[in-house]
Parts: sequence; structure tokens; C-alpha cells
Amino acid sequence: MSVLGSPANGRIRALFRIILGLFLALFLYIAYLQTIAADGTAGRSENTRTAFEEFESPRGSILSSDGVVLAESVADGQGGFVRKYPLGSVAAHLVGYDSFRFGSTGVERARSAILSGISGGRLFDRFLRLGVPGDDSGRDVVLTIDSVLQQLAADQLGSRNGAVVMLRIDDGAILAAHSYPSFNPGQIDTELPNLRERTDAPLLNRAFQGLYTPGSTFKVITAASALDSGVATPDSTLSSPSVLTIEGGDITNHGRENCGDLSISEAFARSCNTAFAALGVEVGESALFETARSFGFERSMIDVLPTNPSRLPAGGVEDDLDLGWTSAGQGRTLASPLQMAIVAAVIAGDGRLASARLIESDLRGADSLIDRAVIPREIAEELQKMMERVVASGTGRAASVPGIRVAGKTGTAELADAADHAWFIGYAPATAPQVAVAVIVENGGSGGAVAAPIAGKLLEAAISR
Amino acid sequence: MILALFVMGAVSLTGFTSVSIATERPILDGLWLAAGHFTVTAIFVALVRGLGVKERTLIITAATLVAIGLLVQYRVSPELAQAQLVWYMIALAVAAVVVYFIKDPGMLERYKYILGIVGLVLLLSPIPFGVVRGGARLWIDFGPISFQPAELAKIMLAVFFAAYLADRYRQLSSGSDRLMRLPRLADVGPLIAMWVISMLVLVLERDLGSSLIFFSLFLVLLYVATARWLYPVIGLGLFTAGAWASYYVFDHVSLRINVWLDPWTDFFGSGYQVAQAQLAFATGGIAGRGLGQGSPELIPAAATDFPLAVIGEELGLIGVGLVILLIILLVGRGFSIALNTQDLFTKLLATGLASAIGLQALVIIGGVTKAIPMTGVTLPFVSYGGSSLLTNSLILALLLRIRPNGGES
Repeated sequence: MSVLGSPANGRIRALFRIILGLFLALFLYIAYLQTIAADGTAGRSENTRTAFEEFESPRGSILSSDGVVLAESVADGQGGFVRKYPLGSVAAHLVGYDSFRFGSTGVERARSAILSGISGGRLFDRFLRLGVPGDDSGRDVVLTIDSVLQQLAADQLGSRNGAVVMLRIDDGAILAAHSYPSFNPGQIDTELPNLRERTDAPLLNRAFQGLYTPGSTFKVITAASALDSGVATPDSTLSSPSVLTIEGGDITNHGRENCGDLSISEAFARSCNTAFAALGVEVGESALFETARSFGFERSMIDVLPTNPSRLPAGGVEDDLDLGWTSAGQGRTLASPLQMAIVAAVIAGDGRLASARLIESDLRGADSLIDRAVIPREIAEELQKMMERVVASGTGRAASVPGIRVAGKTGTAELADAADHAWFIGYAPATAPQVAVAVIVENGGSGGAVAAPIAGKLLEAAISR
Repeated sequence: MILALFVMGAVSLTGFTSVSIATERPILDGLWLAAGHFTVTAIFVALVRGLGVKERTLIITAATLVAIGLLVQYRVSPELAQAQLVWYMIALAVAAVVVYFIKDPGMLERYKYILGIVGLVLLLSPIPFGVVRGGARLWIDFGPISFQPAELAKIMLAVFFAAYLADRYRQLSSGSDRLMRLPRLADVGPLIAMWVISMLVLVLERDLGSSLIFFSLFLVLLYVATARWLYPVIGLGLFTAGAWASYYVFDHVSLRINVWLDPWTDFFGSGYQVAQAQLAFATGGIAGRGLGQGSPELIPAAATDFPLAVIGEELGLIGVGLVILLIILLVGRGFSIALNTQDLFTKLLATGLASAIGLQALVIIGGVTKAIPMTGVTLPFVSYGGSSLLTNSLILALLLRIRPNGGES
């Protein structure tokens, strides 16, 4: 019966090779499922596995730089943990929420791996432990936020829609960033559907994502560009009639005031539109926009939380009239409060830009800081004098603080169909700048009357801390 | 042999203790299972050694797969693992009896027609008598005991195919000097008959898995016996055509295919099991989430049809790779027994039995991972289930008795 022995063996070997090949193909496919495709699949909303796990172990706390708890996990007495937010709505847009039902936002989301203690490295540890439970609790995340300044920002803004952003100048640390209307992250499970319905967008972080017409605060950029390009010098005499007609359209000063002949510094202090419109037209679109971009326009200024880059007119300006209005801060330019705080910080920091940061505990090399010259030092110093004059004797007097020299720029952004937005950007002390601030009150009216006092209070508190 | 046995015991002890601690169950529960598994395996090893069996790779590999299966069952529910341990005991006792009585599987050739007819009856018996579970008519209830006859039918049909082909291979391979000449109708007759039976199983028992395994087992042996590659090609063509047609005609087949193509649309309905398995594999990643740290409760039928998904989640790609490696080792050892035996019947029988395990593992692993449509067959030695464990242990017993010098020659 062994006649067929040997040739049949060849076929049995061939058969085994086929089966082996099929197993190998299957293994490679599973390897694909568990490596390359794994993050995408595991991240699907249908996957409740990691959510279950996270709610079974305490999550790390989120703390302010001065050690105040912004979010913490508290045992619910049934083996699980609930998330508490002691400051409620005060830092809600930064901290975010962490909900079993609705997922997470803010730092709760951005630093979830650290907070939950579940990250790639730990998974292998678990395999080695072969399922023996160890310390699965997460680690804390410390923000750059100062709880006192954050609370003050919330108190000062009160129930007016708008935002406040305060930066430390030397390292870009965000000391306060408040947005109103806000929400209570501890009640998100019941409140979120209502919050989503509301037309005043309480979930929107206006400080980073709100985009507003910058109004006269944009004149900092126009002035910097004009001085940098040599179109104007501190000694130039500018002309600022009440109405400037360009290509058949009118640019007007606030209240049709005739500013007459004056220096760039005086035009800045009195916020004369026609002088800056003329400067902007002379500087030209490309140089002006280049300056704006170097201050951070059209870029995300922070990567931890969602931000909207500030916008220059899409497709460029239509004509010189449009360029004139854009130079005066009207037109289609849109800026976020964070961006405008950075503009103030650049001037205060002698023309250097430090990247804004929110997480104190992030490990980062010195080279990851965006630290580069935006404008030459001497031009920054010139603008420092101009901004100091705004608060000393110009439109921003309401921001002044007894005993401290404050510098800044007001803005009153005119809207076609609603009351003006009130802006103020500035820094203090003018002699040795420490902090920069941007305040916007939506439809609040005049920047000098409404936004400047809020900024003054915040700068005063920041300097005294 | 003894060393391998103790290594297996130590590893399973660690595994069970880990699961006990992680799931906060009494450590003694896990220890008892590990000890029970070790003792049953050790007694079986001692018994068959006493009967002159020297083979060890097969036994240790199979026992390790059973230990992994018990671990998954214990993970899902301790009662399930205890029941499976009892089944393991019964299965190995029956296997030991088979090893004792069938000293040479070559003798089975004499009973080929009886076994063939009984196998066929068993395969088709669920059609009039069966109970539908999980969408397939696979089960026959004897009072409290349910039984999947297709499992046992697999062995009997493997014996019949091997004997039939050892007897008839010359006729069936005649004309092989002219490669492309189609075989005579009488030669393709058996192929057509088997195809019709497999289609009956597919359509009337709603069991794509058993149908595919049964038919491909026949094709595999047909190829090995006759050397005509045209047979498996025609056969696979026929099967594909039949399955394709039934996709359009029968709802239960089209449902399986649609779930395979997209389990996500009907996540909470028909796609749930397959989609949950996808999530389990993805969440497990390379190293897994750790024994006892996964969520097998989210996967329906985790212990019977989807043990690999539980392994994929808790032990990751490493654990899945280990299971696949053990199955390859088992199948490879079966093939090597086939290569070393002289007698054509036992050669074909060993090839058939090893292929049955390999094909079934491919079908279920492919289904669980969504490489192919899901069909409810068991993962050999790993899945929970008495019929399956008993059948695979009988395969083990027969392979243990096939010796290099063969039987009658």
C-alpha cells in the first residue's frame, strides 16, 4: 500500500504550506488590527471600554499654578469616582469637563492620558503584571493659571459677554483666560443639551476661539509696520482730517473729530482713524499683512486647546479704501483675545514673541519656545512710549493704576448691526513689563470706558501678586 | 515530557491566579481550576504512556490550548470554567478509552461505510430534529444535554473520505497524463454529491462554518490522494457559487455577509458581536490590557465563539500570536505524523484530522477578526463546549495511535 507514499508526501507538505500561509496572512491582518488600525478603531464612540476603566480609578487633579484645585476625582462611595470642579464656571473653558455620557473637553481631554494614567507605556507594564492591579490612578496636571487672577477676571467681566486673557511676558504663561457666558462642568451630564441649544454659545471659549473685529487695537500693528518700513518716523507729521476720501469712499474719525496735523504718537493716543488709514495705504497690503502674520495672525497660538487663528481679509483687500479701513482696525480682519494679548506682550517684550502656554507641568525643551523677533527692538520701544501715552493722557486713561505705569491701546470695534465691541490691550508696569492683558466686552460700547477699567484692575492685581 | 507538563502547569497557575486577583474572586477558585487541569492532563499522560504512546507535542500543545480556554471561561464566569473542566475530564477519559481499544487506526478502514453513513446522518440530523440556537440549527437536545452532531460527524467523515480515497484514488486520478482533460462524470460524481450535501447543511442548518469545513476537508483529501489540483479548484468554485447564490436567496446568509462588510451601521443590532470584537482587538493593542482588565462581558458568546477576541483584548497581539502558534504546532505535528506513516489510509486519515483542526481554526479566527464572514464554529480546544472538546480529544487520540510503520502493511 505504500506505492503512493512519497508523492503524496509532497502534496501533504504543499497543503501544510498553504495552511501555514493562511495562518500567517491571518496573523498579519490581526497585527494590522491591533497596531496600525488600533487607535482609529479603539477611539470610536461605540467603544466604552476605556471609559469604563477610567471611571473605575481616580483621575489626577487639575491644579492652578498657585495650587488651587480646579478639578478632582472624589470617591462616590460605590467603588467609583465622580469629578468635582470646585471653581465651577470660573475656569470651565480651560479645564473642560469629563463626562461618562458626553466624553471630555478642555485640559480634561487634552491631557487625558496623564490624568487617567492610561497611556502607551503603562499598558506594557500591565501585561508584565499579568493583570495584578497596581496603582492605576492618574497624575496631576498643573496649569499656568493663577486662581486669584482667574477669579478676578471672572468677577470683573461679570455677566457681560466677552473674554479676558492675561499673559506673563517673559515666558508666555497664560495667567488668566476667562470667557463669558460660561458653564458649570460639574453639571454637564444634565446641562449639556441645554447649553448646546443656547444662542449665546456658553460652550465656546471666547478667549481662544472668539474672533472679533479688533478695532483700534489693530493700530499697534499698523504703527509697527509703518515705523518698521520707514513710511513714518516718530518725528513725521501726519495729517488726520475728519474725513479721508479714498477711491470714492470715506474713512472717518470717531465722532468725525478733526485731529489736524499731528505726530504718529499723538494720532495713536487719540486713535485717529484717518491718519492710520493713510499710513496703511502707504505701507501697502503685503507689508502690513506680513507684520500682522509675524505677530501671529493666521496661526494657532496654542496647541493644548482648540483655538481659532486670527484672520486677515480672505483673498486680500478689495481696494485702497478697504486697506484703509483694515489699517484702522475695521474691515474684515478678525482677531481673538488671545492673539491681541500676544500683540501687547510682543510690544512689552521689546519685540520678541514667546509662545503662549497653558500647562505648567508639561515637559518641554527650551527650543520648543517660539522665541523670535517680531519687530526690531527700537520700534517696540517707540510703540511702548506710544502705548504709555494712551493710558497717561489718551483714550485709555481708565486703565491707569495708582503708583504703576500702565501702557495700552483701546479699541471700539464698530459693527454694522449691533453696538460696538469694547477692546483694551495693554501691559504693566511700563518701566519693566511683567504682564500683558487683552479684554473684550461684546457690544459693550467704548473700549476706553468699558474695557480699560477691567484691564486696569487685573494689571493692578497681577503686579501686586 | 514531564518538564513540559510542569512548565504548562506553572504558566496556567500564574494565569489563573492573575485573573482571580484582577477580578477580585477567591484565589482558591483559580488555583482549583489550574490544579484540576494539571491533574487531568497528567493522569492522561500517564495512562497513554502506559499504553505505549510516546507522542508528547500533541498532548502538551492541546492541553495548553485547553488551559488558555479555561482561563477565558474563568474570566467570563467561574461556573463556565468548572463545567468545561468536567468536560475536559470526560473528553480525555473517552480519548484514553479510544487509545486503549484502537491500537491501530488502520482498522477503521474496515468500517468506512458504517462510519460514513453514521457521519452523514449525524451531519444532517439537525435538519429534522435540531434546535435553532444563535441563528443556526446545530443542536440536538437529549434531555438536559445538548449536543452538536456536526462535530462528531467530522471525524467519521474524515475516516470515510480517507478510506474511500485510499481505495479509489487510481480511478479518480486517471487521465492525469493529460493535464487539462476534464475528469469523467463518474469521477466528479463524488465531488458533486459532497457539494450537494454541503449546500444542504448551509441552507437547511444555516451553518456556513460546518458546511465549509466539511466540504473543504473533502477537497483537501481529494487533492492529496489524486494529485489533481483541478478538483479543489472546481470544488471551491462550486462552493463559492452556491454561497453566492444563497446570499441572494436566504436572509440568514445575506445577514452574515452584510455584517461582515459593515458591522458598524447596525451596531446595537446584527453587527454588535463582530463590532465589539473589533473594538476588543483594537483596545488590546500589542501587549493587551492585562488579564482580568478587559471587558469580555461586552462581547456576546465570548467563551464559545469569541474566545480569541477576549485574548486579543487582555493579552493583545502577543496572546493571539501564541494561540495561533500553538494551533500551527498542533496541525504541523499532525501533518508530520501523516508524512511518517506508510499506509495510504492512515496517511490520509492523519492529514484529514490535522486539516480539520487547522481549517476550523482558520474559519473561526477569520470570522472573529472580520477577515471573512462570521460563522459559529468553535476554536479547537479553546472554546467552551463539550461536543467540541470531545471531538477534538478523539482526533487527538487517533493521531496518538498512528505510528510510523503504519498498520496493515
